[in-house]
Amino acid sequence: MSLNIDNDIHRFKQIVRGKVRRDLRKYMSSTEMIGKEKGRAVRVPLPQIGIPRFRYGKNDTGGIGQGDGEKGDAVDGQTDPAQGQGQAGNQPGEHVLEAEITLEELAEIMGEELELPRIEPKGKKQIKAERDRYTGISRVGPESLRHTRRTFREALKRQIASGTWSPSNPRIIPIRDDKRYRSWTTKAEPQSSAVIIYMMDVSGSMGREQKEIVRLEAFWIDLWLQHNYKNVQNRFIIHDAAAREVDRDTFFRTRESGGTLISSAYQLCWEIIQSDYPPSEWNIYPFHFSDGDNWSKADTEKCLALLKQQMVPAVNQFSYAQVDSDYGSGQFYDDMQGAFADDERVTLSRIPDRDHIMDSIKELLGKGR
Amino acid sequence: MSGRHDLDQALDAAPQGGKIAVAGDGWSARIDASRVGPIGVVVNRLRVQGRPGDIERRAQAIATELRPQGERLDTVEVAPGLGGAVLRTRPEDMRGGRFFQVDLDEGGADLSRQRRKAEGGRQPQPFSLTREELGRVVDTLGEILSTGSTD
Repeated sequence: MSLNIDNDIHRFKQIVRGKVRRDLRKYMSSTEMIGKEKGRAVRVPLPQIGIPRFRYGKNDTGGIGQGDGEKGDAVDGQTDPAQGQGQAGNQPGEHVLEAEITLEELAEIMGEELELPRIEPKGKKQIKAERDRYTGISRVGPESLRHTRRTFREALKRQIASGTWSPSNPRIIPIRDDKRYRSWTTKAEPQSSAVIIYMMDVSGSMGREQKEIVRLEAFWIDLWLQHNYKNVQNRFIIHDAAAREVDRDTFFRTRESGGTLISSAYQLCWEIIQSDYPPSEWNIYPFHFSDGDNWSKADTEKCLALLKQQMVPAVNQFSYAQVDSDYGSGQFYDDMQGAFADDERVTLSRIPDRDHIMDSIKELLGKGR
Repeated sequence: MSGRHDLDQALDAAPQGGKIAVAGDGWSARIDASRVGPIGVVVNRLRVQGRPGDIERRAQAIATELRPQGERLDTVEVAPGLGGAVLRTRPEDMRGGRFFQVDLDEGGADLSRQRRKAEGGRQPQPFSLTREELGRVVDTLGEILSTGSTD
């Protein structure tokens, strides 16, 4: 009887997917899964199955290791005078069974669970990427691309045709005319490219917890957009009263004590779009995270004007997520809502705490733009 | 110093509340009160106006010296380039999502109390101070804000 291991693997994957689906909200609000990101896979802790095993009792009649020594004597006959501190533990250690799940599977599960629509790349944003494919065979080419099997087959055909092939002495000696080489064709393939521009308020009012929430949101946003686009680039902007572009690590670790001028981030974001990502070729997704405490009404007006006149028409979707701190959050969310309530290209989300990350992701990515 | 006597007189003159003004050496204060009693005052907002001065130093001084209702303040944002700073009650001193906020600018400071709303955002809250405590708050802010940038 042959065991069909494929069925078992399929069943096991279903169990893992079910576990992720059940605990998705928990995973989305904790760094447990993000911390275990490794390459293109993450590790999912699974409930452990206790495997039965033998336990050996005391053997009244002695057993192995019988001899002159007393219980507790060192094996080599020398006692170690050094005493350790504290007592040895008497509880069994915890072993967490983990299963790997690919990021693609994770994105799929999230998409299904949150009922996220597939993103429709903007029609004009299909850019062509040239790609070499080895599709043919040629009589000329570099030795590094020689196709050994085809070369020997040609040589065999020639030897059989010319009568020099002997089954009793099956030697095949290719000559120059027998040599065959792999050849390639260059194809222009349409490729959807996207850029995510993350902006974060790092002013004094944004604390560690708020940044952690942003980090978690950014992970899931990344995951979903990478699932939808082959080529996704990330750019990171931090700002207090002034904005600057930074790398991912700095983005999540920086904390300043200055005031908040949101327009500085939007201005820099717009400059980056203009210089590096022509809207006719790229799907552009700016995400801004802040606690909404902008310094002045005048700066908020400046932000709204910049968004309305320049940025929003150029991007697929502009997203603003307001993270509450111990002090609640500011006015900016309401200002944005007032200005863009009916605009499909702008999504707004409020994140009171970690438990609302899942809802926030649904709000931000639920339009399928 | 304003002299508590002056403040008491000004408060007595407005038993229904309203805008109550009091001045000291190099500063003036305006108290927006909704009720004034013999022991305490319900304040909506308090503005103390002084001389222009170093924002960073003043923010630090307020954080060290001002304790409205016993709550300690933290400098949340200090932005000399923008000409201001924001101080709030330390999270561990907050009660029921309520906190004091000082908005410091180049000419003075506003003291208000806010409540964190469950649905997001904040709401200004009137706050009660005894006359003595109000006097202390006004004097502390007045003293800090009356020292100019070169003092």
